[in-house]
Amino acid sequence: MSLISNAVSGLQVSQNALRTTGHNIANANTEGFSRQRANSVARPEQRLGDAGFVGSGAITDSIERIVDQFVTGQLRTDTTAFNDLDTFNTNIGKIDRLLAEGTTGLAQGLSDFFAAVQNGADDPASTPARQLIITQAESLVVRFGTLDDRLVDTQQNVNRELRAIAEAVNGLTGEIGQLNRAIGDKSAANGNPPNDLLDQRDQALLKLSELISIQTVREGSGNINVFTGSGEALVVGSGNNSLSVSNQGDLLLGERVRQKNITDRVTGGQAGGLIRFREEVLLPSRNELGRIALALADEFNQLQKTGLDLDGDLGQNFFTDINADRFQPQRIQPNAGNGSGDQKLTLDITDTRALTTSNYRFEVVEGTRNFAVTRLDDNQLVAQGPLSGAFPQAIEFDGLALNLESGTFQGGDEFILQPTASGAQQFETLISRPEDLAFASPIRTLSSGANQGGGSISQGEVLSLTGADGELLPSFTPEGELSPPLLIQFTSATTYQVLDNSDASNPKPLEPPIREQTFIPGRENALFTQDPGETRIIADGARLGLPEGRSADVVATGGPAQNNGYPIEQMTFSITDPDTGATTTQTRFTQPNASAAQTADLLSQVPGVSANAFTQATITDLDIENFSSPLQITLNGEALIETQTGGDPASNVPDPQTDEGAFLDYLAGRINENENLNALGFRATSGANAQGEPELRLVASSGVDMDVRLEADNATQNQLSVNDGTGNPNVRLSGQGAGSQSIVTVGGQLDITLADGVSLETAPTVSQLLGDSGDPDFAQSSFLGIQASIKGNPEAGDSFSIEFNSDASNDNRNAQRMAALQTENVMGGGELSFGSAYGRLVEEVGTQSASARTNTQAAQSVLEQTQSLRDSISGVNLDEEAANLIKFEQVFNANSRVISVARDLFQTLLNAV
Amino acid sequence: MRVSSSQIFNIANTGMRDAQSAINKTSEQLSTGRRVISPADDPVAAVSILRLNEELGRLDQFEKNIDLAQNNLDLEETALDGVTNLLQRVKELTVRAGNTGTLSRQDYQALASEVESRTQELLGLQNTRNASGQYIFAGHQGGTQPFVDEGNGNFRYQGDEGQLKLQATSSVQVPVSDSGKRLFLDIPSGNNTFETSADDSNQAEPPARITQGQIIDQEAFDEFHPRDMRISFNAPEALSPPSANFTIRDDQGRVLVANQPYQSGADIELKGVRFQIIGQPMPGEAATPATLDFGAVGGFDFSAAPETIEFSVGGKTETLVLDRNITSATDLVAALTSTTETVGGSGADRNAEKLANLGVDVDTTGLSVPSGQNIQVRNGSANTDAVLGFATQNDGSSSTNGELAQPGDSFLVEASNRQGLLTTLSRLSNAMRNVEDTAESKAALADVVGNTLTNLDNALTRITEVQGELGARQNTLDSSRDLNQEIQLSSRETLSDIRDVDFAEASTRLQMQQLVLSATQQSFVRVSGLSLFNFL
Repeated sequence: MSLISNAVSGLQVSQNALRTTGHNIANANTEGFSRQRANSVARPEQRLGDAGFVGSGAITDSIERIVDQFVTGQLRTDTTAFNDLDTFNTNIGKIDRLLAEGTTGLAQGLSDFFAAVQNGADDPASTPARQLIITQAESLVVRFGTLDDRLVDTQQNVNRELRAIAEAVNGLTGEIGQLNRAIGDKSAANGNPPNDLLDQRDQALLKLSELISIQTVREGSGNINVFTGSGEALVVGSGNNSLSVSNQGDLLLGERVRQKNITDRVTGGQAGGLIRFREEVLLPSRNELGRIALALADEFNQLQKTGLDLDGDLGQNFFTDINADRFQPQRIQPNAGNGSGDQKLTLDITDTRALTTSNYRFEVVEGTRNFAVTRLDDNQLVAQGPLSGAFPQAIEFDGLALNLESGTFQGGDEFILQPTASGAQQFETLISRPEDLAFASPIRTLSSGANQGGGSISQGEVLSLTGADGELLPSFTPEGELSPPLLIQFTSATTYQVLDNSDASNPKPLEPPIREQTFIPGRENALFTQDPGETRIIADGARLGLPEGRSADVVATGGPAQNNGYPIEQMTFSITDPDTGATTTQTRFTQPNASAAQTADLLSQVPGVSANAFTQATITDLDIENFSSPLQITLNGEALIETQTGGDPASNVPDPQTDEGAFLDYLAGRINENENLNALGFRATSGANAQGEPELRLVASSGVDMDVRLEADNATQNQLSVNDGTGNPNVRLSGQGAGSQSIVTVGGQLDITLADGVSLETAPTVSQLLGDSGDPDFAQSSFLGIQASIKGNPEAGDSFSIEFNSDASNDNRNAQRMAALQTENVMGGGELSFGSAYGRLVEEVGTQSASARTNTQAAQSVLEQTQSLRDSISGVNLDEEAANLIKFEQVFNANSRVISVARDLFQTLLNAV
Repeated sequence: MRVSSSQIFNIANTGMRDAQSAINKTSEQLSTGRRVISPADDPVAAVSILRLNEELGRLDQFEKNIDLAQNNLDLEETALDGVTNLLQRVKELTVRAGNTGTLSRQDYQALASEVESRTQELLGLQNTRNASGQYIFAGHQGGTQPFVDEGNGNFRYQGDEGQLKLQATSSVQVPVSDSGKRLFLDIPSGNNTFETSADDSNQAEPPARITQGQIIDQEAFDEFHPRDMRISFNAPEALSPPSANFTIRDDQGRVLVANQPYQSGADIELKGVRFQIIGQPMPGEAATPATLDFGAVGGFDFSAAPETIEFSVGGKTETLVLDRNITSATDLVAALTSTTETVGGSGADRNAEKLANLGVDVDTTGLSVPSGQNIQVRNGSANTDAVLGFATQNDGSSSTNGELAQPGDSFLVEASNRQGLLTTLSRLSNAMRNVEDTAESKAALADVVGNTLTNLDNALTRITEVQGELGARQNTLDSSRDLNQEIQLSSRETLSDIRDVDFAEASTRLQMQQLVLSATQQSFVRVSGLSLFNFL
């Protein structure tokens, strides 16, 4: 009966093969299905005595699943890579077009806005042109808002998608766990693996790899454990770890208590693509947009504030103040794990030009009282140091000032700083009245109608309304005027002084005075300092000039001059480098009886110090009764009275007894015409004091000592008084007879200008030359916040004035500066304009998008090849199955035939019986 | 290689998907006409497109600026042409006025009337406004009428020296206005001249006025030039009986004439200048005399040894000599005001003169200084202490109650080598109005006519100069416009090159892509039809 038995086994084998083929055909279109093959083997043979062995038919040994584990793994990797890039590409494609489109992008908005500003500058008095600027500014605000809203929406979509992905991942990992258990159970029950369950598990893994990058580890038991690309367990055996997404959009793994933030570690798959898009494109784009908005608002506001509006008031903010209190919560995100929740911090933007697009992390280093600020874009440490414990503590970096206001800061505390992220949302216009646009410059300059010379003054500009300390400069308080208005008066063709012109009929010196300044004809002479930190010391020591207590000496004619009595003193300058903060000191010793000119030269050698010396004296109260020889007045060795033979005054010399004014006019003329005296910078004016008494005013712009001598008869009263013009008492010179001179020496004045960061201490503290160096007002700020220049050839007596620019409806100087902002590089440390910063954003997003597009295509074709390889190994080929069908049918038929032969044999045998 | 059935479909799918997406892209390019549709298509080009669009926008704005600038300059030119024509007419009138020999007083009245009406016309031209209602010659103060007729031939300029500039190209700013000060005020004068004005702080209501004045003696004035005069009104008490009076000082504070009686409209003549002040100026406040009373006057006989004592008033010091026996206040007064020497050679004879020099009055109660300046008596001795009854040694004693006279309203006569056009015209008409049929008066008029002609020529020169500048600015604007247009053209071309699609190339590409798609479709149909099952 073995023949039948053999045939029956053949029938069973071919039936199994046919069923398998049918299964393959049925699943030809099933996703993840791997074709199966029925493997048959010969049954154990039977011994036929000495004849050996005879076969006993066939049996189906196994139903094999045709897979290549390597290709399956590769397919998962390629799927992950493709989905990563594809997701990134799809999302970036949504915003790169948004940024560049004329109707949505910023470029057109900026262009329109600046065109309106330029238009306004063309006709500064025109209200419609001003209104247009406000309208365009509002539409620019809308553009910033819309653009930012779209980015925020996209960000929310990304987070929503991430949430969906997390749920899908959880579904898949759960399924894989269950499949692990089912496969384990079935394999254990019957040795051979359940092929279709394996396919299902592979398919689930493939689906999972679309979402996130995974690694699989096969266990002996047939389980597959799944980990994320960075090694976090997702499935272990039949259990799974669940993923979730926090409100901030962070990916968290695990259950509540032991949740772990894995956002930074997720790579690949749709989740990786989304996170990469969010972190590398979306957030930096928002930051850049915010930075442009902040810079635009701040630059405009600053110009507004240094301009005058149509009502004649100083301009107010055009856009919302970038450091408004209500923006603070958006800038600082405390870490949930911070020790105490009571810390108060503010983040102010101090310099939009230095601003970056990065976020920052401020942390108190674990276990210390030191803080560190890290720029997150490049992980650079930008500030660190000890917490002072005193509030407020300001920490400055990258154009930002982080102010710790109060609270307990302890090791491990962390804050994420987002200075620019919400900038575009914070961008709003504040001005609604066209008149409030500050197009005019706050100052104007005028030349006096009575000027004789050919000097001209520039239109002048405002440098800053605030001084080095950030306070409003006195020049601009109270508002609506320049206090004081200034008068620039030329005391000679090469010297000028600047006076307080509050009372135009009686100009007064400024505080500190600007006097005896040198003017270089034919060149632009800037009148004021550009240095907000500059200070000036006006020497007023007890021994300066012609001090109280000095009296005239009597010497033989031509004898030595009096000493000026200036002492030796130590002058110590502290010089702080504004960039490094390093301080150095330099010391100088003044020489005894040195002229102010010599001391000025000595001090001017110190870097950052410039000293100006000049000498002034007044000759007054003349009482010359004997207008005949001996009579001579001598100034620094030059005889002033012309004489005739015999020594009497020449006939053209007016008699001071009859006309003192004419006599002093004569002396002034003699001094002004004397070449030797001119070489020393001498000049003289004859005038009258407040009481109308005649006087002769002398100035030596060089700062040499003035040596005044009178030689006159002593029998009658012949006297004159000399003073130094600073309120010190007169010194009276009186005639001592022929051959003797009554003499006095007047020392020079000193003005010392110190650049920002330079200070001066004297020893003794109360200097006999400079005054009390311990006095807080010893060095006074000389920064006026304005600048103007004079050129040409003014003459003595010419004057120019600088005053508040009221009623300047047709002034567009400030508007021109606003219009010029369009192309000025005011961002990124002076390298980017608003337009180019935006252009760079578009370019960066465009480049990323372009490379994402190319990479996606590449990844797709790689994926398709691998898919194709997998299909070629595991896929069902219907033609093949059709052939198999025929083949197995034939085998079945043949086996049936064998049974039929066996039956014939049996029949024959029966018939034979 | 083994091929599974699904691969056959996949391959066809992929092929058709790619072909369709390519066709889609090309047809989008064709329908928009743009090669770069999103920045990802060509990031570098996308940025250039942004930059070029910004540039084109700016160039459009410059174009508008230039149009506006040209309008402004045209308006200014028209106004200046008007001024030139007017000045030519005035020049003719002035030349006629030079015929002093033939013209009578009546003729001059007629001429003056015409000059006066021309002056008003000129005032109108100098106050020209533009379409926005801004005064074009007011500098930056476009809303303020720049030239105001204050009457009496005085004109005040209320504008400033500001100049409006417009941006014509990215680097060129063109001035589009000129201040009235430069055009009509700061005209070099042929002769030394002056401008008169009332001080801004004057308080009289209605304000007193100063006429624009006339030079009556050029030589005398040249000698005084370039000094200024300030006429300030004193307290009426300065005259006896009290009446309005003024003092004239020069710009160094020296008194030229003191306490002159004032009568509204009367000629004031000084240093070759004649002018009038009209109205009732606010008078000054009188001085409060400084007084230093004697104490208990003691006795001392100085005749044995004369002693000196110093009196200082307002920076002036005199040394008085006491050389007689003093026993009473009367003696003391006599000693201080002595004109004789009791002791020969003591110098006491000049005491009276010295006190007068200091402006000190003495009576038996003490010293007083009517001017209000405080007096200091010092450098005396114990003996002088005793005689005067107060401390006289060293710094001695000072009065503290003196108060200086406070000046009232004041007026300025400022020397100048420039003369405003309106002033020139009104001085001419004023001179013609006041001419009399005397040789002297006619000669003075002839001087004025001569000066006027020079000044008119100077004014014409200034206007021609500015007209030249206007022309140069127009040229700058024209060349700026050309430059802008060139840049615009080349920017447009560049923009088109990098942004726009090449239609020929794109249509060919579309054809090609369509071909690929239909080939893929056909081959799919063929391949998918091949199945063994068809034969079973």
